Amino acid sequence: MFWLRLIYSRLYGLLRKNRVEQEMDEEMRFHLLMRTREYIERGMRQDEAERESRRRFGNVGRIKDLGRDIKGGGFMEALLQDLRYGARILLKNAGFTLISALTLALGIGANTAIFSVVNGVLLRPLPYKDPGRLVMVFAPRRLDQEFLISSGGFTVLRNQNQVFEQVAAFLPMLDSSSITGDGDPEFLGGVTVSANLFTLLGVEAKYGRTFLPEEEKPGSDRVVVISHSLWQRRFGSDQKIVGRTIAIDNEPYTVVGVMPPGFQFPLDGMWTGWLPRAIDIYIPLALTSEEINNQRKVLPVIARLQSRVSVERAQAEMAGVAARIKRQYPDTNIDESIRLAPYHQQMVGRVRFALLVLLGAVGFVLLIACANVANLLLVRAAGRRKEIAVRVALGASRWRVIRQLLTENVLLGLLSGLLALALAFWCVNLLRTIIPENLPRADEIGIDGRVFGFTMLISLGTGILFGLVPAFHASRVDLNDALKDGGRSSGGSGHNRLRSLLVVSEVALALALLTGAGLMLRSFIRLMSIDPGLDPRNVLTVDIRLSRSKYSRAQQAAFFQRLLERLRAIPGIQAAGAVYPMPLSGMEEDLWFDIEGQPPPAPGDHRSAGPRGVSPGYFKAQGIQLLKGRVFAESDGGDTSPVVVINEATARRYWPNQDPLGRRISFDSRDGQPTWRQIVGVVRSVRHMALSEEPRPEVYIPFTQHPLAFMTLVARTDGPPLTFVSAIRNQVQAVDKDQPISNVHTMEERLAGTVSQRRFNLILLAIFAGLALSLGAIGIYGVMSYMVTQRGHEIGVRMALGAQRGDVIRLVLRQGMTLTLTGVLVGLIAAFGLTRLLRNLLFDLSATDPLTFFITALILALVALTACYLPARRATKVDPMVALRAE
Amino acid sequence: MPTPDTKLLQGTLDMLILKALSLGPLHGYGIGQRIMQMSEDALRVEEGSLYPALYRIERQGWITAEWGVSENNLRAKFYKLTRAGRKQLQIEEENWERLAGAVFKVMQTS
Repeated sequence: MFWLRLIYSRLYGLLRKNRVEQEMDEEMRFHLLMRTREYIERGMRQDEAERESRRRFGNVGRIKDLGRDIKGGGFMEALLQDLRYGARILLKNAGFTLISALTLALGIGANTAIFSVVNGVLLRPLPYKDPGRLVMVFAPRRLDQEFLISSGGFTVLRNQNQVFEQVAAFLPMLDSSSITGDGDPEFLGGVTVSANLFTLLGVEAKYGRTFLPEEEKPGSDRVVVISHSLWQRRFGSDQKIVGRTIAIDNEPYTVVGVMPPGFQFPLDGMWTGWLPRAIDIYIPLALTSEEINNQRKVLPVIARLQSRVSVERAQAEMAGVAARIKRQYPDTNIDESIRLAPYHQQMVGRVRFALLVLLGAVGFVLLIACANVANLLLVRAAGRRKEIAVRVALGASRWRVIRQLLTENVLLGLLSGLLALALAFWCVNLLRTIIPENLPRADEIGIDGRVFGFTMLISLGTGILFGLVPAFHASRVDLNDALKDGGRSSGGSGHNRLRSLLVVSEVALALALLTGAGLMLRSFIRLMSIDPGLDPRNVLTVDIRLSRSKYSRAQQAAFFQRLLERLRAIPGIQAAGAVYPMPLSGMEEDLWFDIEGQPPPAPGDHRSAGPRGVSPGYFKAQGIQLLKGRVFAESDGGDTSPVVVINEATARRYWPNQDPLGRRISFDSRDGQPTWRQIVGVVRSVRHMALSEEPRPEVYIPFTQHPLAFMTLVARTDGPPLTFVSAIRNQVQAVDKDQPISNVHTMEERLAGTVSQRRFNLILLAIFAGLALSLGAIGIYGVMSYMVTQRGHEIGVRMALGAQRGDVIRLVLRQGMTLTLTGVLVGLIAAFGLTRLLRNLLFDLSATDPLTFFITALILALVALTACYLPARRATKVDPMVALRAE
Repeated sequence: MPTPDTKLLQGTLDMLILKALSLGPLHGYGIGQRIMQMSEDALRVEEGSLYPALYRIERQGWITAEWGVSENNLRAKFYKLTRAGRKQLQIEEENWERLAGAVFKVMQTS
């Protein structure tokens, strides 16, 4: 009520402003007139009386100011007045305005761009109902915190718990999910899901329905829910799609529903490399009772917490569930414990930290930009002292002056904010090109209301931040001093101290950023100089996923054999092979094995290696060096004796100082009828997981002895690999015209993909550091130039007294470098504390690497020296006579 | 510049203005003059304090202003006590007497 009245009276005051003003004028004129008459009656002369009454009345302007404030409308009116005045000043000093606005826009725009990433990935709620209650369920093993839960464990969890509303499993269709008919064969992203998954997520089908509980039973699971984009793309938005039968892996499936546009599940980058980015088909996950009981299958599981059940509370209950699983499957249990992780956190946890570091770094850039503009403002304030003094003399209160200056600066900040938004639109598009493939929720990055709000808020904050101190300073004028025609208006020592402080902070901030970027760069160089164990130059890789229903195991091997023969016949292809799982693809398996003649390891311990099915030509195509023995030959077939090739890491771990050749190992020795496989060769280790990870033990198996439906073709080519894509596709379709290929990449691309997150961090940090360095240099240059102008007189005198060019340059440089070195010192200390935060983002490099610290400090000092030298040289051009005469 | 002999507290000035107006409507100049007469030249009200005080009291609703013609036929703004103002003056007079009496007592005890 009070506020309403206040607003009303202020608005009303604004409208009747002129009348109030006139009335006050008239009232005071009348008062003066009466007083003058009084004085005349007492015997003064007319002019004397007028002067005396005016003097006695005092400051008309100030009384009117007070009156305006009291009468209402004063604030709004003053604001409008300030805005108008501010805009006029900004327009009048177009050069200053442009430079400051651009500097700030650069800082704000970079912040907006990074915030849009943070917003899309970390802040926007997941597109499901009440996403805070979704958790992933894992069964951690010794080494792996995120190991999936067994099929039996899932069934127990689903049926016997008191904390979840719903529990559902989902399993990406890794081997095959190609769609045929209705156009070209196409490999699609597909997931098999528990029937209740959609209910759990709280998303309904747009047309038709999602799955019924009975469709989870084997035999009644030939139904499919398709994505909105597949419906549009492949079925021309056919309204009658529900009920139609389509062919997936050459099997008929009935379409029961179409999801709404934008629906995606799963969202995380966990499956990148396995699947196309978009998931287009959902099929019920039908577990047979055998599959449930033998515990061979492990599943990603998602659950929805009951309302009012916290993650901690649910986690506490999981010990009981694990015990129940153990009771149910005493012999086959592999779920020793169960861990819950909030779905959103699970998805973005990996990148959260790096993104926050980038946000902090870009905040530094903005601070430096603010310091620069504050510096410009201080210089300008020196020139405006007279204007401000006049306003104070005319009755403006100090607060009024500060308010006006602040309004001006906030106006400048908002102007920069608008510029920054334009800049950010462009930046975000640029960012999209360097965003790592596996960044979760990357397609949600963009400029929305929240990003817009953020930009406007920091623009406003920026305007106040860089404007407040100069405004306070400027408002503290000594009237006599400022109004006297001193000509040489020195900023005063307070101004100089403030300016020095700003420069020191700029240098310190820039150094901290530069050091961070330097560390990332050195760590990246180290990473890139690591030998991956294979030769990635001129290698093309293509995924082939055969339909298991169309190809028997023997036919799978035959298909790849025939295809590889054809590929080798293509002119320009030096070698061709096939492998599963592909190195650096993110796909990994781990198998336990036994060594013939050695007792099995103690319980709780095991021998394990990553199995890899390969064709004989694989090693040559991939450039993997043979160290000992032989690689596979075409003669190693399904009916000859089983053989394996091991990598160096396996040889070192399990046969240290012995010759592994001729030994026999088995992956199934505990199943009664073991297949013993003889080691025929040792090859160099390949970094299969990532460049940053030590090679693990691996065992290569000929694909003819262990056929696979999903393999990656690897072809070593003469010349650019991508020019061979269509030739390869032709050969694939010559063998089977319905067989799609997918995931076409050069090996170099795949290698780059594994470091894309690091590259992203590095590029951005480097850009920020570059910006910081340039802004810092501009800041130093500006202050030194100003100082040279200010001390022009003194320099003139020195030169007149015989100072040499060198003396003058030294004088200026000494002052500049004192500031710089102070900044460097502060910056080094700050960097020492801050770079610790980078520890987890660095590879094989200490966060306080002395060389990096030294080099970045040196670079900064050199840049600062250059920035000081230019004004110093100008100082030597001062003509002593001119400088002296200017007095 | 003649310095005022007595500095007035803000609240006291408000009370004096109300008192001056209790005898009839006056313009700003007249209020200053009347306070001076009533205090036998002991109190001189600064214009810099008078007008802000008038605007403040007007906003409180204790006085109203309207344009009229002055004794020498000039257009002037006259202030008039409202009913609320009269009540306020009474309260302030009572408060003042109590305070003045108390201060007097304090000063008499030696």
